[in-house]
Amino acid sequence: MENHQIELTQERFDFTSKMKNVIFMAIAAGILFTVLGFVTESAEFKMKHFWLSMLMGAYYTFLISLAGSVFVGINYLANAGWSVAFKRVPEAMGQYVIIGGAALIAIFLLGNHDIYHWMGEEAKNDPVLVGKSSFLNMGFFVASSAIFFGLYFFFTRKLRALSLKEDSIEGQDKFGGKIFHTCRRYSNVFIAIFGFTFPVVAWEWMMSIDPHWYSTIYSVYNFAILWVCGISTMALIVLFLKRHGYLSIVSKEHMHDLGKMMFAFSIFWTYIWLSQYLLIWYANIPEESIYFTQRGVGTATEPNNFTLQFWLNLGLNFLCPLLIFMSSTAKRKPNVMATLGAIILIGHWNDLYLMVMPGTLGENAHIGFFEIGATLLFFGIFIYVTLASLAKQNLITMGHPYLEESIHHEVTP
Amino acid sequence: MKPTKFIAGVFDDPVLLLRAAKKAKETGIKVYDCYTPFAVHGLDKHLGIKRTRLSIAAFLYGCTGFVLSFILQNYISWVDWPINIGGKPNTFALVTFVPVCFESTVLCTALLTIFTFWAKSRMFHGVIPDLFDNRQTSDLFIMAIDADSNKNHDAIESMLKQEGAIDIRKKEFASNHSLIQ
Amino acid sequence: MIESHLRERLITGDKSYGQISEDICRPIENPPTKAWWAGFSLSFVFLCILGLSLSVSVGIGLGMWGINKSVGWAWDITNFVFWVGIGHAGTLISAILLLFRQKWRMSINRSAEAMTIFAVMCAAIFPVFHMGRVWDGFWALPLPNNFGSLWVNFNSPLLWDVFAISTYFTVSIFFWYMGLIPDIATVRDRAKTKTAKWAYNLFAMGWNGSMRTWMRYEIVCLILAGISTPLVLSVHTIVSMDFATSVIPGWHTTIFPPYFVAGAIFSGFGMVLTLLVIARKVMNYEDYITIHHLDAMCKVVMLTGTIVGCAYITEFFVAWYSGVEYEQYAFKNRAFGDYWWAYWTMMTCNLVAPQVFWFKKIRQNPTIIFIMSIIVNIGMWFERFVIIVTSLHRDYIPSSWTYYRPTITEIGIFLGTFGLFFTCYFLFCKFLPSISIAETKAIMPIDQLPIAKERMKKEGHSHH
Repeated sequence: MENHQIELTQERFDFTSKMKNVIFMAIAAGILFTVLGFVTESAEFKMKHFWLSMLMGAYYTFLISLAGSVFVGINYLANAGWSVAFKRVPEAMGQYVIIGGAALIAIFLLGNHDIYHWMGEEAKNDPVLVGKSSFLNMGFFVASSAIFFGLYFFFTRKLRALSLKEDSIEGQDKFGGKIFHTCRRYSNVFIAIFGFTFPVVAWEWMMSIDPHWYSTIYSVYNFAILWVCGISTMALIVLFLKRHGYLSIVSKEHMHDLGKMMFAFSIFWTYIWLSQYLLIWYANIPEESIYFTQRGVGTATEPNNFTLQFWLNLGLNFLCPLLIFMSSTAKRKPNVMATLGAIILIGHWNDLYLMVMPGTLGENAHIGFFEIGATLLFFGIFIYVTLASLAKQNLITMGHPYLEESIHHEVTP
Repeated sequence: MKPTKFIAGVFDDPVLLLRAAKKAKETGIKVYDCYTPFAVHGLDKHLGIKRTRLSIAAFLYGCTGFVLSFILQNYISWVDWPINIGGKPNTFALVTFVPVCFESTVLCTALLTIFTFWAKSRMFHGVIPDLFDNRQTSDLFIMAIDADSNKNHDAIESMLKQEGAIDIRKKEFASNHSLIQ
Repeated sequence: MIESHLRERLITGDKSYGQISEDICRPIENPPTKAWWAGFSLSFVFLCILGLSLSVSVGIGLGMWGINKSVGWAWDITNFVFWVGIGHAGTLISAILLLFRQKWRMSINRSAEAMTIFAVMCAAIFPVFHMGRVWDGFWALPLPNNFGSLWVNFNSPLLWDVFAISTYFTVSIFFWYMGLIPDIATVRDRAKTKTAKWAYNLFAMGWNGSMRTWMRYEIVCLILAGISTPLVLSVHTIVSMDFATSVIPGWHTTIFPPYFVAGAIFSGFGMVLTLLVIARKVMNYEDYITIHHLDAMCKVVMLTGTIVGCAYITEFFVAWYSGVEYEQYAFKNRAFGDYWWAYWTMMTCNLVAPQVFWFKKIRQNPTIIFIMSIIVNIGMWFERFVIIVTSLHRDYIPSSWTYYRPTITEIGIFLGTFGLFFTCYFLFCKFLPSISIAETKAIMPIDQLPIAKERMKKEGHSHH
C-alpha cells in the first residue's frame, strides 16, 4: 500500500506572554495564599497543615503528570492509532514528572515528622510500627522514590526524544516504523516497571499516612485517580489548544473518544472505590473500618466534619460523569466536556483531601488557604512546564506511522 | 390490499451500491430499502434513515430495572420480613443492595432492548423472509425501489445499469410481506 | 477508513465475500470429519462420567465428597470459580474489545462467546449440587416465605452470585444469539436440504439484511457491549466477594475484586487459545485466525498474567505490612505449609510462565502457545485451589486443622464438566458458524477485495 501524502503544515504552539502571565498570577496567588495561611492559621497545627497541603498539591499534580507518560506508553503498547493526533499533549504533561517527584521528595525530607506519624519518636514504642520499620524508614523511602521517579522520567524523556527523532526522518524511511518499534519496546519496559513500582509509590506516599491501616486495593485506587485525572487534564489541554486555533486535526471524533475514557474510567474509579468500601464495611474489622469512620461515614447519625466531603466524593466523581456523559452527543460538545473535566479534577482533589487529612489532622482539618495555595502553586507550575514544553516543537507528530490513521479517525462501532 | 411491486438492482460490490444510492438520492428516486450481507456504513445517510431511539429506550429500561429491584429488596428485607443476620442493616441498606440493583439494571436493559429491537424490526422466530436473491445474505447487495410510488421505471432501470448493477429484478410480494417498515 | 501499512492484514488469502461465506460454512454444510467424531465421542464419554458422578452425589449424598468440617468448600467452589473465570473471555472479547475497537476480535469472538455460555453452564453445576438437596434449588430465588424457605437474604454475597451468574448467563446468551442472527440467515439461504432450511429459518427470525434493521442492530449491539462490560466485571467481582466479605485471613483482602477479574480474563484467554489453536487447524480457519490473532491473544495473556502476579505480590506484601499475625500466618502457610506445591505451581504457571510471551518468536509458534495455554489453565485452577483450601484447612482452632483430599466422585465431576464443555463446543462447531461471517466481511478492507480490483481496472484507476 502506498503512503498517502499528508498535507500538513508544521504547527507550533505560541506560548504567549498573556498565557504566561495568567499562570504566573496563579502561582503568585498560590504563594500568597500559603503566606496568608501562615498568618491566619492557629499555631498548634500550622506546620502540620502546611506540609500536608504541600504533599497533597504535589502528589496531585505528580499523578496527573505521570498519567501523561503512562498514556503515551499504553498507546504504544496497545498499538493504538487514534490518539496520535494529540500525542504531544500527554508527552508534554509527562515532562513535569521530575519536578513533581523532586518536590515530593523535598517535602518529605523537610516535613516528614508533620506528615508521617511513623517518622516520629512515638513510633519507636509502637510494636506495629516497629514491625513495619524495615519498609517504612527514611532511607528506603527516599531511595526507592528517587529511583522510581528517575525511571519514570527517563522513559518519558526517551519516548519523547525518539518521537522527535522520528519526525525528522525524511524520504524513503518516513513512516517506515523503525523508531516506532523502538518506542514500543521502550513502552513495554516502561509500563512493566510502572506497574510494579507504582503500588510502592502509593503505599509509601499515601497509605503510610495512616500507618496502622492497610488495604490491598489501595494502589489500584491511586492508579484510578491518576488515570481519570490525567485523561481529564489531557482533554482540557486539548480543548484549550483547539480554542486557540491549534490542533485542527483533532476532530470531534477524538474528543468523543477522550470523553468515553473520562466516562469509563470514572466508572472504573467508582468500582474500585466501592470494592474497597464494601469489603471493609462488610467485614467490619475495627482496624480496617476506622479508615471510613474517620472519613465521616459508619456513623451516619453522627456526621463528622468529613461527611459532606465523603458524599461529595461520590457525587462529583461518579454521579456527575455518569449522568452528564452517558449520552454520546454530550461527549461531542466542548463546553460540556470542559465542565465535566473541571468537575472531575475538583472531585479527585477532594478525593485526595479525604485520603490525606482525616488520618492526620482529623478533627482539626478544614479547607483553608494552605490547601488552595499549595494546589494553585503546583498546578500552576505543572501547566507552565506542560505548555512550555508544547511550545518547544511541532504540535503534531509528523513522522508517526499512525498519524494518517488518526487524522481520519472516526467513532464507529 | 394489493401486492407490493419492487424494482431491485442487484450489485456485487458495496462501493457501487453506495454510489447508486447516492445517485438515487440526487435524481430523486426514493429507495425503499437496501439488503446487504453486512452493515454498509454511509448507506444510511443516502437512504435518509433516521437515527434509532433505541438507546433512549435502553436508558429507560435500565432505570426501570434499577428502581424495581431497589423497591423489591427494600420490601423483602425491610417491610415484609426483616431478619437480623450478622447485624447487617436491612433497612435501606445502600451498600449491600448495590450488586443486585446493578444486575437487575443490566438484565432489564439487555432483554427489553433486544425485545424492542425485534418487535420494531418485525423479527420473530420462524418468519419466512421475502428475499430478492438467496445470496443477499452472503455476497449480493440489493437496492429495492418501490415500483408503485416511483413511476419512471425506465429511468430507474437505466440508472441502476449505469451504476453497475449486475442484474435488475422485478419482484412482487404478497400484501403481508415481511419487508413492511 | 484508513489503516497504516504497518498493521497486519486481519484476513489473509485475498478472500471475496462469497469465499468467506463458503469457508466459514464448510464445516456446517459437510458431514463431520473423523477428527470431529473422535473428539465428540471422547467428550461424550466424559459427559457420561459427569452424569454418573452427579447421580452418586445426589443419590448417596455429599459424604461422597472430600469436604470436611474445616474445609467445607473445596473442589466444588474451586471448579465453580475456575469455570466462571473461563467464561469471562467471551464477553470480554465481544464487549470490551468492541468498545476498544480491536478489530482482531472479529475472528475469535463467536467461539469465545460460545465458550462463555458453556463454561457458565459447567460452573453452575457446582453450587447447585453443593446445595445437597438439588430439588430445593429454587429456594435461592426471591420467593415469599410460604414457598419453603424464608425470603432470601440480600445482605449475602452468595445471593448476589445467584443474580450475577444468572444475569450473566442470560445476557451472554442473548448477546451471542444477536450476533448469530445474520449468520444463521446466511446459512439458511445456503442450505440445500429442507430440514436444514426449516431449522435455520426458525432461528434466523426472518432476517433479510435490511439496511434499516442493520442500523438498529448495530446500535443494539453497542448498547449490549456497553452494559456487558460492567456486567462482566461485576460477575467476577461478586464471585470474589463470596470470599472477601468474610473475615478469614487470606480471603478478606480488598484487592480481590479487580484481581479476580484480571485472573478471569487471564484464564479465559488461556482457554480460548487452547481451543482456537486446534480449531484453526482442524477447521481450516488459518486465513481467519491468523498467527497475528494468536500473537495478540498471547499479549493479553502476558499482560493479565503479570497483573495477577502483581496482585499476588501485593497480597503477600500487605499481609506482612498489616502486622496482623493471622494474616501473616495464612500467607506463610500458603507458600511453605502443607500445600506449598499448589502455591508454587500457581506462581510458576501464572506469573513466571507467561513471561515467555515477551518474545515474538514464541508468540507466533502455535505449538508453544498451545502448551502455554494448558499451563495457564492449570495455573489458574491452582490459584483458586490455593486461595480456598489453604485458607480453610488451618483455621483459628488448631484442633480442627485438617488436610483436604478430593474423592473419586469429585474428580469425576470435575473431569465430567470438561465433557459437558467440549460436547457443547463440538456441537456448536458443527451446527453454527464459529466465526462471525457478517462481521468478518465488514472489516475486509474495501479497496483490497478481488471485486474492487476488477472495478478499478474497469475504471482505469481513475480514482487513484
